[in-house]
Amino acid sequence: MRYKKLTLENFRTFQGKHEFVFPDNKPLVVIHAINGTGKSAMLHAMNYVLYGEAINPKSLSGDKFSIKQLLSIPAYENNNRFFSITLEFENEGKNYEINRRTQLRGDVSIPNPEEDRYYETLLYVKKDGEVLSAAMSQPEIENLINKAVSRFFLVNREEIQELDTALLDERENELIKSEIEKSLGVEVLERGKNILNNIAIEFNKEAVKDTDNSKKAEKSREDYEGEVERVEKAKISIAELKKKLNETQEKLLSLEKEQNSMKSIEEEAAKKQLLSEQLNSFEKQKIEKTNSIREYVMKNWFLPISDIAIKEYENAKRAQEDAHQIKSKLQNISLEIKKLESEIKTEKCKNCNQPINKTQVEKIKKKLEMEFKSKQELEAQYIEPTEVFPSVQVISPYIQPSIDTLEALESQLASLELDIFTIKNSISKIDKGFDDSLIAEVKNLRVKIKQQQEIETLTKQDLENKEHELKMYSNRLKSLEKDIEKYTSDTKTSTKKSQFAKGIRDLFENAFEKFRDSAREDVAKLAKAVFENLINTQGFQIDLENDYSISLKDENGRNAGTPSAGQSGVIAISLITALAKNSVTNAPIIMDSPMASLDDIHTKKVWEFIHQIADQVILFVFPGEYDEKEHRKIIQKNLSIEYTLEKVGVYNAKIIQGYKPQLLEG
Amino acid sequence: MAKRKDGDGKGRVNPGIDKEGKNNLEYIKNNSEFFQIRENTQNFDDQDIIRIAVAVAIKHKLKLLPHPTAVGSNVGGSTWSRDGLNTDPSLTKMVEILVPQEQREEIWTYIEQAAATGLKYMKDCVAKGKTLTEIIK
Repeated sequence: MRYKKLTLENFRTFQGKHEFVFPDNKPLVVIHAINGTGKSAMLHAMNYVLYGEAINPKSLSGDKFSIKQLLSIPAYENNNRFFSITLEFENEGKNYEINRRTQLRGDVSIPNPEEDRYYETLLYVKKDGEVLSAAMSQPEIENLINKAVSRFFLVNREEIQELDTALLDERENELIKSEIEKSLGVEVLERGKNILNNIAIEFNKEAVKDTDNSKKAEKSREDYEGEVERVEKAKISIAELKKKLNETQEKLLSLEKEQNSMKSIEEEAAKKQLLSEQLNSFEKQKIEKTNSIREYVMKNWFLPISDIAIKEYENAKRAQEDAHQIKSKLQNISLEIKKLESEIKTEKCKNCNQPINKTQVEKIKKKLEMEFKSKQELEAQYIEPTEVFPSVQVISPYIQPSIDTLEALESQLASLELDIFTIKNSISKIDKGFDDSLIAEVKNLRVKIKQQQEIETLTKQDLENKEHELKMYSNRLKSLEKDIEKYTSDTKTSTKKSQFAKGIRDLFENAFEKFRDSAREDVAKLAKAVFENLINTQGFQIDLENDYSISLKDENGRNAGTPSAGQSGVIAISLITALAKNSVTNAPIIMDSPMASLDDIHTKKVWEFIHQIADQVILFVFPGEYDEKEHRKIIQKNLSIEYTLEKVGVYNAKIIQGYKPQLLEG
Repeated sequence: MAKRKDGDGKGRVNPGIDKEGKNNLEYIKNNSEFFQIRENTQNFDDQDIIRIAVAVAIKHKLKLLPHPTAVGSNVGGSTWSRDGLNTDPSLTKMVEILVPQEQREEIWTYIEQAAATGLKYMKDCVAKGKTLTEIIK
């Protein structure tokens, strides 16, 4: 990085606009000034333009200058209540322009606005002609020259005189050490290390989780082994069951073949069985029928004579009816006789009561005679029914049974006997074909088949159950395999990640430690070398501790006590040089009165050396530090440009290019 | 054993069968499907068979054998008398109705002759394997 131009307007002693131009040819810029002309003001301007603040070096508590303190007094008094600083520079081929302008706010109308709150500051950053946004502007500056390391690039006089002392102060040391390490890039690496550490911690957390996963994987593995054992057992059982099933089915097949060959026997046996059952039934019916016949005959022992009795009964009944008929006729004839006798006697018709003549009487008499004759004949025929043998009443008990009924019963019995005979005949024919031992064999065969069928059913059921079990175990096995894979995979991944992160962290930490130590050693080595080069007294040396605190040693390496003011200055220049050379920030170094406390010899040595400490070195020197005769020839070949600040009046200064010793006379 | 007053009129029991009659009765009982004694059924007793024999003799108008002299002994374990034979309906009435008086002597003599004759006839039928209907009809 090289500064190209610094423009100040109404800033401290620079009322109006003033410019420092820094040509890009040689490293050294020397600005000559006497006290009060604006040497320090320029350093404050640099701080202000870069960071928007300027620290008052005289303040023990590190207070900042107020805006009013930074504003040119005449400008303020002339109501030009603003100041502006513009820094133009180049970095890595890019051109930058930073402008920071602080001005009275538009809404402030009080006559003497001294407090900062009445002012506003505007920042404007241009990079390669492109204006950066407000949000990007300050970060861009910080990225180029971090504020934390600015003390080593914008070195005020107090810094040079008190750096070694400050490093011995515990509180200061911590801050400076931090800033040194930032300058060296150690801080960036430390941040990286912390990030990596955090990553490692996060991955470690994952890995801790993976311990659970490992346990789960282990548990799954154990379960898996158990499941494998069950699967194997199930497979063995299935193989055994299949073998048993095959054997059973083979036996069954063989038995069924045998059964087929004996099918006719079986059919005959079945037929015989059926016939036997029918025979039993008919035999039973026969007994029942016989019994009913026996009972019928027993009850009606007179059955043999029943048909005779019936005939006798019918005869007797007919005789009785005949007697009744004759008796009835006799009664009718008697009535007719009575009627005829009355008509003869009265000579009147009985029916019409008309008189009858003699002829008619004669006829009636003849008729009467015939009636008497008929009566006599009928009376001769008539037999009194009670006298008929046997009487109906007596014979009737013997006509009840019927031989026809008995015959029907016997016919049924005969039919049954015929059936029985036929069945027996059929059974007999069957019996001729085979003996009972064959039937027993068939029965035995049937029992065996049934047993084998039961075994087959049970075996099939067992096989089905076992296959179902196997399927279940296999599924669980697959699931466990997945679990193991998952947990193991997760474990592997996370553990690898964790191990990798730890490795990277450890590597980085190791590298960081080495880098830090190396950087410190480099700084120490260079600082020592610079110190040895600058210090005039042979034998003195400095030691840079781990915390960058510096101690002065004698030639024997013993502590040489507190450095003198001059020694402190040389120590500061040495350390700053070493830091600048080792810094990650490649910024020009601006130093205010670096040789203020040095004697001539050391001053000369610093002049001889100073251009080497950075690519661009801007020095503010007061007349005591620079001797034209002695130092010109030393700096000439490295001198880029020099300015002399001319004091104008009480409050103002003016920038004059070149070395103008007449303006430096107090 | 005390002699029964109502035996064969001569004080002997089991009227209607002499020795031959007894044999015939035994034969019938042993060889006939219907008259043999069986378990679990109602069985004919000797008096039933004798009454049937009387009816059979009347039915077939058999020529009566001479009057049998009652054996007087216990046949097949059973013992009967004329009163025992003359159960309802009356055997004597039956004979009176169906057998004209001129064809018979004293009624019990006739009955006992008919019994002996009927038994012989039935024995012959059983021996020939005739059915009951054939015996009766």
